Amino acid sequence: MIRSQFLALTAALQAGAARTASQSPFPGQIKPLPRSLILSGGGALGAYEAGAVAALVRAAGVGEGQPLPAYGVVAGTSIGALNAYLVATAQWSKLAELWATISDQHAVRYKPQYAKIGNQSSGVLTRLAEVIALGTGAGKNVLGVYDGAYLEAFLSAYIDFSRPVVTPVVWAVTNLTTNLPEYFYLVPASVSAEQLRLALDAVRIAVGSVIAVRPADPTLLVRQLRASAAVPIAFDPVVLSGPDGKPSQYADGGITANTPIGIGRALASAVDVVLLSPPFAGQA
Amino acid sequence: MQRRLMADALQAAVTESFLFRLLRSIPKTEVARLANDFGYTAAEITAFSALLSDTSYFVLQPEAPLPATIFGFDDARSIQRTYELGFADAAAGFKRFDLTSEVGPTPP
Repeated sequence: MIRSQFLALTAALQAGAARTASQSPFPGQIKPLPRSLILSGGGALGAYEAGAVAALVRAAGVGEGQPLPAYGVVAGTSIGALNAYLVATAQWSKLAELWATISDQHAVRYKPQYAKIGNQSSGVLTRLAEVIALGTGAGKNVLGVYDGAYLEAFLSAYIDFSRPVVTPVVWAVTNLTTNLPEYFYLVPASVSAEQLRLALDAVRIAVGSVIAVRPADPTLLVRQLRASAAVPIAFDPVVLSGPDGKPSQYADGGITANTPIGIGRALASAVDVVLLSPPFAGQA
Repeated sequence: MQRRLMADALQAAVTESFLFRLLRSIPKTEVARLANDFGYTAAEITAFSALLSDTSYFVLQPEAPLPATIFGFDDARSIQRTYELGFADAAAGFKRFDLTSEVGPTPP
């Protein structure tokens, strides 16, 4: 009923638009930025985003430390958040290096107690027993099978708060206490307090006033980015201070905001979205 | 499920822009008349339109499932191939996403 009403109203409005003058009854919404780049989550599929960024960098002819001129803001979730950070700091060679070396570095490793799950030389029963123990919570520390410490150590080589941010970046995490998304951001030093206030107002209208949007903590940047990629079952939640200052558990932003389109549409007139799966019709 | 949510989010965003442009293109008096016909007040439509955003969307996505897998961080070959596909697709450009774009499975 609601859908049919909506369609009827839309059709009527279309007809009205066709036969009436084009003077706007509503004030146009002014957006501060021409274009935003949105990078979605998807684990190792994030290599696709890195390749795409490399092509954009080549097409734009920008060098290390120089921003992609087309984009006024970049937003990401999960692996997209990590890629987005490197875009925001224009670390083009680091972005390529990360994806070229991540397999050699074994940045994603099982916890010792689950090491045999992925080892095909282990017996089937051994592997099955570990999976059952994981699934039933029979073991200790069973929130995630992978050891986040290795990933955090790997990321530390790429995430450095002293690197100047040249493009504003926003990333999503999921607060498991509130079951709501939250957003962290970094902005270039050139962004004025007034520009930031206006941008945050626009973002809060888009994502909802109850959703926390706050600056990243220089001392916790690696953890705040890793939290965005803490896929449940794969990784333990990451403990960070919540908006209220109390410790909260955070997990993959993809749980609640895998493609943070709202950020892009709040700030820019055009949104470029990189998705990591084909259109449904493209699947076999 | 996540893919479904992504597709829905994009479709909703595009629909929102469509409505924004549609409402903007009609004089207030006509909007008030149409709203009244459907049981809404002009103030409701004005408040609704204030929530809308005029945005254009462009998408870059693979045509087929990527060689890498979500947890395949140790598979160097698949990661490299996935990286190359991203490079090639982006070099070809983002595609405009509109109300006719493929966003989801055919309902059963």
